[in-house]
Amino acid sequence: MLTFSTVIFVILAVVTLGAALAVVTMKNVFHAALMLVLAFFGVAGFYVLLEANFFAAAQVLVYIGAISILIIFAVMLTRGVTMARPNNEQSGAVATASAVLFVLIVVLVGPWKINFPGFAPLNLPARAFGAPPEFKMAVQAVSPDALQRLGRALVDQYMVAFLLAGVLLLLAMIGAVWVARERKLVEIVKERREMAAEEAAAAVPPAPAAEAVATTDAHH
Amino acid sequence: MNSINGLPLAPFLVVAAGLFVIGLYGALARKNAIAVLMGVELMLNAVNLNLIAFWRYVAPNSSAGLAFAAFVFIVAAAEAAVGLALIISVYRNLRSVDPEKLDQMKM
Repeated sequence: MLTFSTVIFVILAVVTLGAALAVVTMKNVFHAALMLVLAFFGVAGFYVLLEANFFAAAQVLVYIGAISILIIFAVMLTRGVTMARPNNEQSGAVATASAVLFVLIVVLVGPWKINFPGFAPLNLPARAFGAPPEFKMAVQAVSPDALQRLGRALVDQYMVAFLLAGVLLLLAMIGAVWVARERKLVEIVKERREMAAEEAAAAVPPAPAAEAVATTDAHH
Repeated sequence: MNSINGLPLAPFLVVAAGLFVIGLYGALARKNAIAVLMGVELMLNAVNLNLIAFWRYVAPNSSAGLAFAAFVFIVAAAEAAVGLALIISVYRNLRSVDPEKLDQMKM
């Protein structure tokens, strides 16, 4: 049965997974960042299909509007880098492991079993872990005040987590500014000299160093 | 009726699993730290897709799924800000964003 939703789902799945594959395989990091925007749009489309409209809007605002722009800025600020190869030595092994993990998730954890009880490849889950839970009840409709209830739950049931999230965002903002701050050349030179002095002190054999400490102590 | 608009839950979970393993590959196999962060973002998106799919099909009357998804959004934003600040700081000092070159803390 080919419904409108099914067609939309297939298009979204192809676009999202294709864009995600492009993100991890493209040599040019800037193009990969643009593909990441496309993948985020695809996920926002899935949120619309799942009737989580607020989260579709939040996905566009937070991921595409903020995180993607941040990533593109970082790519442009580190422009001078040229890589001989986009992937490291273990990329082949990692690709194999990822593919195996995907097959394991699909076959063993068994999303098929949840909705298609008749279709179970090799019937592995039933043999290994007992019959997986099947929920037979009908899917309920989303209540029209779901968003209001979420807002109330955030300041009631999840109040501590909500406050901690605010603290986390504030600390992340301060930390990001502190880590990425522009430092004066004088400071950097001073720090490098201190590091070099420490390295030189560490390079001296331990016995004379202890002697030196003892003599300076005696001197004082 | 086990579906909304003719769509069952399973395809959403398969797409989320695919997105997650693609992100995992990106996070482990890329030679550019920014691309590694992109892989992590893809994985977080897969997790969020799973959370919202399960919310819609299993417990649409509870706010738990949406609340967790909102917290994943917040953590992702904080992680991206700090991660990219670190990468820019490393680039200023080493003129490189290759994670394999960051071995100054190795003994």
